[in-house]
Amino acid sequence: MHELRLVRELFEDLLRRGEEEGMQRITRVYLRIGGFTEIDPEIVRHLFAESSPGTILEGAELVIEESPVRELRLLGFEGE
Amino acid sequence: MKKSVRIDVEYLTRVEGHGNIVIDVRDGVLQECRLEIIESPRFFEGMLRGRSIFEAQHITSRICGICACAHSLASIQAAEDAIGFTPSEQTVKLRKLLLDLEILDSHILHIYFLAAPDLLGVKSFVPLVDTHNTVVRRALRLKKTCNDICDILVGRHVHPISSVVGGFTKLPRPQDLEAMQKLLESMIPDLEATVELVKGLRFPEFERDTEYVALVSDDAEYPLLMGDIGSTDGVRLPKREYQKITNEFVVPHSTAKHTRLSRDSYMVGALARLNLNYPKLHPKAQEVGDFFGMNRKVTNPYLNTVAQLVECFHCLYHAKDVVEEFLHSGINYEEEIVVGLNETKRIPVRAGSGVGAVEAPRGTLYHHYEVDDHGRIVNANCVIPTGQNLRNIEYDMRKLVPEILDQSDEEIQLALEMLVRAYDPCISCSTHFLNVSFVGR
Repeated sequence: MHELRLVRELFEDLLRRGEEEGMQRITRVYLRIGGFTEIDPEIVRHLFAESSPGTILEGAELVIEESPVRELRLLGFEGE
Repeated sequence: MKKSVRIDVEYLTRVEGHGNIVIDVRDGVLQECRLEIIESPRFFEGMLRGRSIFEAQHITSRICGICACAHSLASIQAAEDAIGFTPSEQTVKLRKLLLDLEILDSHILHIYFLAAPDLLGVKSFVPLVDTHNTVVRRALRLKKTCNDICDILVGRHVHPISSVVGGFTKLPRPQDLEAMQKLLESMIPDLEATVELVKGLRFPEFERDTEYVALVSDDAEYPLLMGDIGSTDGVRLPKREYQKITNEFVVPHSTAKHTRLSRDSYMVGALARLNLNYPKLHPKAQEVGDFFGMNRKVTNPYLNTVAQLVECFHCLYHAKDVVEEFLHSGINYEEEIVVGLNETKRIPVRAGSGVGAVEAPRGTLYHHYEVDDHGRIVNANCVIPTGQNLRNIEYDMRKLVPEILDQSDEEIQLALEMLVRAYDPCISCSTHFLNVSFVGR
């Protein structure tokens, strides 16, 4: 699967939305990943951790919920 | 203040493929133009470490479902080179036959399924089922025949089984040779009809001279399976020195590495091979090539598709000649390798380092293995043709975009997509999901 591309898009989205909300820091991100996608949550976690230093997403906790269908959803995020 | 935001955004549907073209134009001047490859790396070289050279062809043929045989043959060649094994003349001929079939199969796929829809003005091959039904049927028939011959020769339609380090575990019987001959002959009318189809297509006019790289040899045969590495700028090196040519380096916008030789970039593939070895093509292929004006140095990359058609003729007639020769001279079945019985005696293993260089459908493919005393791979390096072409595609785009800046975004997008596809890249942007973004226009 194409985790790099997906994480990159997710990242850009989160940075933009976080800024719109006026957040200094995003502390937690909620994702739902479907089992029917061949996306490897471990690779997503790794790429996420690799990309976050120096951004408002640094150190954010990734909460991944699993589902049986074909989906990758950003459900929400918390920050301050 | 702590804040929680709930949203719901689905990302999968937004994935457009593995290739992006980014064009940045400001005040009518091209600032930047790049081809981004964001396909995740696959780590095949890492997978090979610790595995036996006898397993390597089965593993590496999975790198690609289209050029599985080329990977398999490059892998076998690298392994044999490493342990100092010289294959028999019969084995070499059969391997050449296998490569002919794969190049034929892959070129047909590109001409009909990827290039033709662009040139016929539709988004994919599917609408052609209604508008060009005979063409679709012909394309599928040609592909099926190639695959069926491959099945007879190496035991499976893709990912060959019987072609291994040392030779073949099953050699074609006389009835197999007859069946292959019949199937090959059945393709001639369809291939001739393909010439008529390509005659009717209008290729964009665009010229950029670059360095063309392919295998070269001193004998009279069109080199596909074996040879030195040569270029139109006069470079000639033994295959073991391939790293001087490929010298992969990393660019920030791509997960695939880039390469360059005497100039900023070079091209591999059918057009490069024709530019270097045209006089060695089968006479039937030269007839077709002469008709399309390919008998000179061709610098229009869009004509790679025509070069592929010319090579289809070469491969078909060369394959036919090989099969007929075996029908006449017979096959020596003593050479058959029986796994677990005679293979260790026939193929003594020792430590060493070896390189396989094969002309895959999309260009020169290199496998390089370092092997220990037990025939285990210590280190592996595979350099694929598409990777070598990426940089050349970018330089083409940089020349092309300013020439067509007066056209609409849609027209520019199509011209660029067609350019990328003309190289027949082995990534998913060869399907119609290439994402073109215009910055600052």
